[in-house]
Amino acid sequence: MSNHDSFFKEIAYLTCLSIEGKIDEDHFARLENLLQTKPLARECYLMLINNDLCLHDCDVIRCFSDESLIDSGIDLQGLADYERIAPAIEIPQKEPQPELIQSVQRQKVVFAFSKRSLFTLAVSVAAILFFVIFLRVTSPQPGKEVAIISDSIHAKWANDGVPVSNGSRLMDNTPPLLLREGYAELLFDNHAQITIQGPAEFQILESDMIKLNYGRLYSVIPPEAYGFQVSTPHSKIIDLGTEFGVKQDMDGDTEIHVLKGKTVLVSGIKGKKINIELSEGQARKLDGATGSVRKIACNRDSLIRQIDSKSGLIWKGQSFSLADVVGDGNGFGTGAIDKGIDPVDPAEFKIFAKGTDALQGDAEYHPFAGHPYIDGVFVPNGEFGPVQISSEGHQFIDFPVTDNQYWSGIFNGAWHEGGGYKIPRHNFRLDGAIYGTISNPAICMHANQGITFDLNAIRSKTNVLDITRFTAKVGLSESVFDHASLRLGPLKVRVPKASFYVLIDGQVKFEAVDRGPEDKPLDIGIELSESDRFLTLVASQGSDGENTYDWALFAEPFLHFEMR
Amino acid sequence: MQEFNEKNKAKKFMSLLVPNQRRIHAFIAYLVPNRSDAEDILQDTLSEMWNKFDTYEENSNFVAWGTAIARFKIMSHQKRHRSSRLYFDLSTMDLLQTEAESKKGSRYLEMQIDILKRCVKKMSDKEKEYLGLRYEKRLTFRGISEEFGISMQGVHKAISLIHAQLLRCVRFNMQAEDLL
Repeated sequence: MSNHDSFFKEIAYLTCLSIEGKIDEDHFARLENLLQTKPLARECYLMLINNDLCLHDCDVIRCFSDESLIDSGIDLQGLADYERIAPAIEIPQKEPQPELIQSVQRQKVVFAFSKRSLFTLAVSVAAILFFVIFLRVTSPQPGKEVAIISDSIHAKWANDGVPVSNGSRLMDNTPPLLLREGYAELLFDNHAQITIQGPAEFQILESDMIKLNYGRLYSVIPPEAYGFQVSTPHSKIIDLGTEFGVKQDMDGDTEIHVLKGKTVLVSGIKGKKINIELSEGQARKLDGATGSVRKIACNRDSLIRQIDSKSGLIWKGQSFSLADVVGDGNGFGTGAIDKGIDPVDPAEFKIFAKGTDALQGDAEYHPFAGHPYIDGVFVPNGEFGPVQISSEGHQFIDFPVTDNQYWSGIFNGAWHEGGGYKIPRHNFRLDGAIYGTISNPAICMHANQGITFDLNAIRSKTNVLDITRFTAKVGLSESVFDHASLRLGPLKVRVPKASFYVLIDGQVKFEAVDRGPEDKPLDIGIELSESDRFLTLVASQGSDGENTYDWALFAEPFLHFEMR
Repeated sequence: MQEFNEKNKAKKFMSLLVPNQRRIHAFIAYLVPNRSDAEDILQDTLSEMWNKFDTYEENSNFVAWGTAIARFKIMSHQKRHRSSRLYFDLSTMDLLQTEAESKKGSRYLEMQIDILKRCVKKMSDKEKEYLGLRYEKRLTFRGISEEFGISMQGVHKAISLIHAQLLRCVRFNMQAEDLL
């Protein structure tokens, strides 16, 4: 949807509300704000009013179905007006009487919609008011079903006598629901999706309005639910086609974080009228005591955006770490540092606690059964022709000839220790940044090693999310230059070189040949589609003919998601 | 004689009002978007115009004279409903009035009606059905919601989306004809 489309929809929505007499103060304030600040809003608003008048009065609807009338030159409106307000022929009034016109005009059917005409039909205004109020108090409008609890994880509800579980239909105009703990996903009939994080108290006011008394929620509003509102004790957030999160504290403070699209924040505490449009990446905090609003950083990682009870997924928008998977984790931080796989003997995960000597590859692809997300591992060597790189037989023909050796294994972390010069254990560094930690994850992959991940297996466990991108940094650790014994010894003769490859289903998507520790790390960014299955990462020795000191790593190897 | 003068006056009033009422109605609707209130104010305005027709200067701008009376009626109406906050403040009304006056008079309105008819013709059958129920049969939103079996909010959304489409179409065509 273009910006203009959104704008036209909003102005049409507000104007129609106003024409029908259904607009509330907040929406009216929004309309007035637009008219005061945007000339385009004024132009569109006048056009909408004219269109409505013409549709109402000018027989436009009938005209398109009866072609003969369109160009007949007959001023039907003029005739109708004249009939309505012309003085009756028999009027013998000596002086002009207002009733002469009014009495004819008030026969218009439009008065059936007028609130004033409604009251004038009553025996007395007081009686009617009493009747209306009495009806509202004793016969409240029954709520109607407007949403469903579509999913929940560890949800504990605290509503006596009200069964609340997955599949429960929720009605509007009902008392607040209290989610004591856990997470619940609500799907409204207009397809608005609201994820609530307990403890939280919320109330469904209408088919397109939810009130959050306290707690956190995240809303995903599709185009058909445009105008959906989240209200809090002191504010209203009106959707203009967006994803946003709301935190409501018990002390009255409200935070709103807009992650996609646009929204409007409206508030009026202590006479401070607030009417702010917020776009993607913007956030505000409303002080419940003073009514003031201040800018805050938009926090993309603190709100639960998606849950899936089948996989146990609780997604805050965080990326999926392949280093964590290599450490026997679920991609979201459950893996262990120093845990990994031997590319020749991958029976199960191992802990890599110490450095090793050079180890020999076997020119075989080894499927790995220890983790559903890891398809297999191998030692790349182009000497024997195409190298198998997946369990389904994908091959790559352009790996260089190597000495068929590797060091240690493929593990979650990035360090080196030992070797002929007895290098002390230290973490790898790329361009000054230390890797192999929880905050700076990496897959340690001393040349020559390769690992293949199964994206379909990942999709099946995160089935409400699409995998859209793979990113990482690659390079040889510059820490090799820290050790005098190496600098003054072997590095004087030969600076190590290694090559990096990223393949999707056997097709190379990234290649960096003969990178040295003196080179800056390279960024990788590869778009992924639904049909991509096997993601292969490889570090092989370079054209220098050796893998010694090829301290290679894939730093920050992440898969990125979008909500489906 | 007096009766003849009265009939003459009425005829004269009508000859001025009939071709211009739409513009006066539009002026009121711009400043008072609630249709029901706007129509009440229109009745009051037309009454006052008739009452004060003797003060109208022949050959002067009838619409300007009528809209001046209308503006006064709008202010009175607002004063009577002071507690309601659903009225534009003076600065907004001034902006809207300036915008309305910048349009090129009755030709602009007439062109817009023609273009609107063409745009309505292009709508889908379902959209025309909605418009027919709302504007031809004058059903309320409740009536339409019962006719289609959807919620009133749904009806409102549907009608406002149709209006957004018509707005886009009318605006595009008016730009194409150099009317904007």
